[in-house]
Amino acid sequence: MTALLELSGVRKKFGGATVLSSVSLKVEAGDIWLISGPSGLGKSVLLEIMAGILAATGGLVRRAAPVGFLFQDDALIPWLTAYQNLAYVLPPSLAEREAEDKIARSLSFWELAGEKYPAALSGGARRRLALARALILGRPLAILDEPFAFLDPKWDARISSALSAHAAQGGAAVLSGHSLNPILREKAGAKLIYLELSDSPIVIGDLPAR
Amino acid sequence: MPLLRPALPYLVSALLWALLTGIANLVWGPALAPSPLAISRALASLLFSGELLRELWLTVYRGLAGVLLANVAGALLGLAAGLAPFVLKVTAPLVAGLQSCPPIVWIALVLVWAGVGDFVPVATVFAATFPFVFSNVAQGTLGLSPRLLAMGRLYNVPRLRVLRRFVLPGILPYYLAGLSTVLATGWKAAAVAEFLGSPDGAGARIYWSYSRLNMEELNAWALALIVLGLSLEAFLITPLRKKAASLASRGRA
Repeated sequence: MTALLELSGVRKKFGGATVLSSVSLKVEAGDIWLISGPSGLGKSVLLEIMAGILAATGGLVRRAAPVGFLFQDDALIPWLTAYQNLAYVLPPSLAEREAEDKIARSLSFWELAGEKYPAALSGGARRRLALARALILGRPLAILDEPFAFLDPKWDARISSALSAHAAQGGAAVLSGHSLNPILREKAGAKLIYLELSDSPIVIGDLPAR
Repeated sequence: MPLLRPALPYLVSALLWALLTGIANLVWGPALAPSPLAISRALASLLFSGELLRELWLTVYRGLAGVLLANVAGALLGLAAGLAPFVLKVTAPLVAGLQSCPPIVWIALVLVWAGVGDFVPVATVFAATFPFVFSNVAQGTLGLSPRLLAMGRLYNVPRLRVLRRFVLPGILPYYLAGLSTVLATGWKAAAVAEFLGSPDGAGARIYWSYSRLNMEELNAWALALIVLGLSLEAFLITPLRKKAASLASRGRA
């Protein structure tokens, strides 16, 4: 199996506070990771270090594939419509027609109105737009901070199926959440690696059996 | 009477002006306080000789030239400073000092450095308005979310697209708010600079009327400048402020 992402001995400090004291893990193609634990533990910091948005204080982060990332706070551009927010991340090499198709498919999958500005969308729709942007490029490494938060339970199944298909096509996903989502467990099956954190600072070393 | 309703406040104000000037005329006499009729005659003769528009245009043109230069320099440097918060922090007192510096200081300095002429009002307007454009653009740039910049880097969004789609639209409301302020102050600073250091322009004409104690003309120029100010406010500055406010609230429905 090819490792898409590898962390070894990763540490992160903010001022004097240690958030990650030693994190070592290997995300392989086909994996779906769910990292759960209470708020404030540092799950978002861990995910942002995985994606390269934050730099680690120490240790090694190795990414073998580009990342699609779901920000915990959505990080949508307020003066761009839903359509334009998706178009913003598409590579310029993509033909106009192709880009339009891609965006139209994504908008319809996530049941979004393309002409609306983020502020005119409900909290759930904003979340779906952020998810749509994270996944529209089909980047092999999908790192999603709280993908199930703020959404109706009906979306749990759709997100879980999408991620399961993504993993089956050779991608991998790392998600954070507050608990083990039963629908995700059912859809992901043996691909799911569930990691429950309870202590701060975060230490990940001995991984559960695959 | 659909036309009368919006015109009414102007009509009442004009009548009040005529009443007050009339009373002053009766109390102090025509040498010190000319009658409204005499002032109107002076205004009409300035208008029909073409002097009025020519001199007002000179003042507006100089104000605009200074504002334009201040906009180019202020926007570019403000953008650069906003992207380097440290630079902004250490220059903040200087910028605040420049902002509160009265134009008279610049006029005196430019008079010494460059002598009397076109350059004095343009340079004065530049110096008086540059800090406003600079600090507005810098604040707007600073207000751009670093997370959204990080998002752009993550997805390798081309720099030009980041600039066009994210940075410039994000700064625009701040920039327009600053522009409306400097347009309002720019031409006034130009008129003051002309009064002290230029042979022509509306400000210079006020100086000549004053030094020759030609009170009819002095009042006529004052009236013309007030009308100019009201027109700029109504047709340029207020629409710009509205645009800035609607852009600032965009996406916050």
